[in-house]
Amino acid sequence: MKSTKPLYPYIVWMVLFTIIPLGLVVYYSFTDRDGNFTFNNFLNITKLTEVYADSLRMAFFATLICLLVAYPFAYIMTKTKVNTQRMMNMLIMLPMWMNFLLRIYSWITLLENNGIINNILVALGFERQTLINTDGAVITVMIYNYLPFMIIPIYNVLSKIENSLIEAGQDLGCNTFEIFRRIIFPLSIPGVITGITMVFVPAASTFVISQRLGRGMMIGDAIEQYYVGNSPDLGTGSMLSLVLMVVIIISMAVVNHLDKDEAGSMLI
Amino acid sequence: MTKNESCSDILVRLTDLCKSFDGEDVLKNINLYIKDKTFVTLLGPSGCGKTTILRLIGGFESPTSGDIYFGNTKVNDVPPHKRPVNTVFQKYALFPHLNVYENVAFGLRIKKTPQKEIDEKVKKMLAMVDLKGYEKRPVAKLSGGQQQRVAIARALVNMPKLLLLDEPLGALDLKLRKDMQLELKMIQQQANITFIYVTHDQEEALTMSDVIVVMKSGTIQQIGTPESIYNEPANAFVADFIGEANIFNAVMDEDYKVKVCGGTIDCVDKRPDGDRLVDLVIRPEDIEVTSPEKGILTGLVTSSMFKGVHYEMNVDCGGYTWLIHSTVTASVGETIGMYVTPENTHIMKRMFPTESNVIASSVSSVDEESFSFEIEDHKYTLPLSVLGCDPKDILEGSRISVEFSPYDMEIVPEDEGDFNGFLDSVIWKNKYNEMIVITDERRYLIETLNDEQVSTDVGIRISPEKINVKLLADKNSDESEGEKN
Repeated sequence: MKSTKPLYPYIVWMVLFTIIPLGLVVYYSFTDRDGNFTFNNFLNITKLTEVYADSLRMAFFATLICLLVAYPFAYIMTKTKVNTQRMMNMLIMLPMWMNFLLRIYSWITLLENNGIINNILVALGFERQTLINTDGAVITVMIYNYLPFMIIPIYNVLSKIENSLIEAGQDLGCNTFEIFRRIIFPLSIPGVITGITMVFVPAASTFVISQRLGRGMMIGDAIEQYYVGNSPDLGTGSMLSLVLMVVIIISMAVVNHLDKDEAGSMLI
Repeated sequence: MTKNESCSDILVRLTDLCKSFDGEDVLKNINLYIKDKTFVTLLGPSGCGKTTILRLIGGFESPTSGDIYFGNTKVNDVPPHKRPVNTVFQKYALFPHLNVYENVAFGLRIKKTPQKEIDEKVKKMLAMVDLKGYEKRPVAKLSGGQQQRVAIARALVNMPKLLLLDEPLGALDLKLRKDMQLELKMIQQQANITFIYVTHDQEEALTMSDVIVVMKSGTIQQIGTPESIYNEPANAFVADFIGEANIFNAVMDEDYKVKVCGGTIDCVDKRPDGDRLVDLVIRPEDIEVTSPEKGILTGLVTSSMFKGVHYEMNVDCGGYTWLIHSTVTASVGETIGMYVTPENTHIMKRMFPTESNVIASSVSSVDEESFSFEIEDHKYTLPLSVLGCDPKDILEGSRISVEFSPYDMEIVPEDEGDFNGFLDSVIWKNKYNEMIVITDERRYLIETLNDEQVSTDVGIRISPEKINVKLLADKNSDESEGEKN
């Protein structure tokens, strides 16, 4: 038996900052302002079904595009020299060292009606386009923000695939495509799942991005409003985030199920 | 084997095969013919190039120069997946995402074999390697020996004409390794295909092979059956590497007679290329223990151990320790006679032609008290007095002869010595290790009690006061000097 002693600080940490807050969220979800048990909060948020659908749809597309861009990118990266790999890793991380809001505001200056992109379009003789306040803008910025979280886990698993496995595949008659299909891709699935989780979850609950660049609210913005808006309603806000959590857990369980052998224990 | 021999039963042919990595020659002019349905072992210390040959045949490397033929077809540029060859990799390289069954079925699936046939073949193969009932197990949950057998099954199920095995038993413990050796030999005979087996374990090679190819530093030292390699080693390296051996520096003043440790032994060999200095090899079991009067040589027993079948004795004779395996023993401290029949006295050409390192050089600078010369770009400075002649005779550019005594040279870590070299050979000569170090300019003989990993880069150091220098200015002074060691 391993000693559990070294675990105590982490257990205390988890209780203080995960279990108790989570318990509070559940508690608020099912109580009204006076602390009585109620289902009203749930009824309140049914009005926001469309916001949920919008959030999940946009998060889905952002995740999908991230995956389609990140996988080949990570794959090509593993084929380059070690120094190039290190450099690329750095460049991928670099934007994340800048303030999140700053990055969003810079996107606004790029996309707004009098923004840089439109000015260039006009200068080139094209018509001014509505770029800001569209779903496309939100998805673009989500991809921009979360792409590193897709690339890095995929790159990590790909770079750990031993060359001897590839050689074994060649030895047994695989051409380049079959090496990929039968060896590289199956072995990279854990990284893909980590990537999907790390992009989809924050994308689905993101806020500010859609407020500034989208058509209106996403679920994250709604939660923010209920908590800190003009007329706060902790109950409804909590129920919103609880339902979002359940939805995400279900989606992740589905993704996990697709690859039950490899990555079953990686999430949840 | 010659090039003209009929090619019908030759499966693989390597001609003038060379391979270098980053300018370093790993294989030098390998010529090798491998007959169909044989068990061929490439044997040598690590770094000798044996794995590189295997990878070239498998198609994972391409030759720097030279050709590889399968039958009569040149396959230099054929990618691995199109070669009729399968490999058992050193660390098995099993697919971790597939279970035992799917690992074995992998090659058949690529070939689009019908499921029914796959089923049959995989079942049969798993039965053959004793893994029936393990089909559904993930490979990571298997023991080393089981993984090893999956790797063999995965390769063999494709019925290749040629199976390459890269130290497949290296990771197993001794007992399992012995079992697997026999099993592999049996599998080879049952499947009736060619095995090329790479190992550094001489015992493994002797047990399993039809033919052994002994390699050192990218060259082939000897090709032959286990018996012929053991009984008639081509040189001291092979004798030292295969089995146990007493190897001596010996002198042959005439053919069929060899002088060693103060005695003369009859032998059946002439002087190799007329050389006077030879290597003498005697296997420990070929030395008969006799009474001191009857022996050719006499020696003092310094240790005796019972090893089951025989006694292992160390006998001191003329400062050299002789290793003897004998069913007759003698007690420690006793003087015994040793007798060797002429047939068991093996004479070999010396790997290093002279007894010392004598280098022609010239004085690069001289001042009132000392002079300097350079060897391998290292500057040595000695006092003028060591030359024992009139200091006025010593001028810049004077021809000198420098001697590095083999036992005064030290092997040190790379870059810590006077200069670096490649440790080409290490052979125990019953008193000291004889090492041959190759530098860009020449080869050096070193005799030391230390041991060192062969095929590595090492540094060489010699204290200046131990260097013997002679002035070659005129013939008279040369003669009066005489040998100092």
